[in-house]
Amino acid sequence: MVLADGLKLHEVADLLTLAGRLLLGAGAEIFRVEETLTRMGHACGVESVDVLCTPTGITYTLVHDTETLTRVVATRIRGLHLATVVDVNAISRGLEAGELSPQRAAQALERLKSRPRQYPVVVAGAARGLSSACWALLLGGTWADFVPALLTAFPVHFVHDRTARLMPEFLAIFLASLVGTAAAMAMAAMSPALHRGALVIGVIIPLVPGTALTGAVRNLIAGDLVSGVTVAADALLQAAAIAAGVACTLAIVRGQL
Amino acid sequence: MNLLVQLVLSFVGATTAAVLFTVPRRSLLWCGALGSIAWFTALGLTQKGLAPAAADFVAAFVVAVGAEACARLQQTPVPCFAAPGVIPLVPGISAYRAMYALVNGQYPQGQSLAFQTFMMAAAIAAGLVLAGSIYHAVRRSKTDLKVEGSGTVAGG
Repeated sequence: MVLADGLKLHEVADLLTLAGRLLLGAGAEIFRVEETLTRMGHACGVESVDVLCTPTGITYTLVHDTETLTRVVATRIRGLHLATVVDVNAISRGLEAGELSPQRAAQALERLKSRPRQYPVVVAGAARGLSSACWALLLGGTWADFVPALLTAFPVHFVHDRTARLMPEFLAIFLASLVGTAAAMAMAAMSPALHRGALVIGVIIPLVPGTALTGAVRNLIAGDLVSGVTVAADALLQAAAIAAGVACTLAIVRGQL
Repeated sequence: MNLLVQLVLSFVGATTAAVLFTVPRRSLLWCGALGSIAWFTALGLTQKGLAPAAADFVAAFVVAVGAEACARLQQTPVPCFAAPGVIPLVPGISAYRAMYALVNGQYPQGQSLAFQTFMMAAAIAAGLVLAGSIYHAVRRSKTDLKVEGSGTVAGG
């Protein structure tokens, strides 16, 4: 039995490696990486595909006729990019449906690798500002807090954006939370009409690790206990980092007064 | 605060959170809608006298069901909708008050607030788990009938 389109087994492996790196790097759930690679392997005509994925790497074995190929791909989550996950999924579905040849799929994946971020830094910063302002207002603020809450988001976004690639996510979040709380306290100190609590809450809500929480839950539901617990630990660390940032600033300010 | 204002704020608040989670553009408005649904579900239930954690549990369940539906409709992973959808439920106020009390040395009060925060976060996770596992079980039973032993099948 031959593979689709005269493919070699190592070419299928290259395709899976590319897709796996993209998915895991963009922060897809672990079971999604395993399922997508399995489906893509089968779509290319490989008889047996076994994928084992962890948050730091992917291992897979392809068996076809008398040939066996195993690869270990060391990679890690490089930052959230759900749009990439969606696009890799679409490519995988196209491959399964026969709309895309394996070569075309590989080209499409290569293009995803080098495309710019879904939202430019400025747009994301503005979104953080609006988000902060909305939640500050809903969670205990008044209209007077709207603009100050909007402004606190910019130092937060700047710090998070600059540090996210240099250190683990929870450290970047700790620094962002620290700076954000300081900015909120400084704003609140300027006018008695402002609500310090609401401003700080506006800073912390957009930092909440929502995708880590849902990712952990979904890994656990899928029966993937190792990844589920790992991602849950990540979510807890990030939540603790936000709390620690707020507490540090509060403690410092209290010492000053 | 006026209900219409709350609707707009929760919608915009969840949509912008979705931008921060890098959700694709075509899914953004659905995230906003789920955020508003979550906000009003939790608000309504709390006003009916339900404990905050219980209200968060029900609201998270509703969000998760909505997220599964949106995911199917748009062929997009569930976290794209579920993650921004639960943002309105995050116990920001009690988390802040807990930190404030603890830093000021009011340990008993800080402890109970911290525990309340933890309970609400756990309730959100529990709501997501319940909806997700029901959906997973239904999907599992359907696919098992169609193809026997077709390898691992996990939620879409």
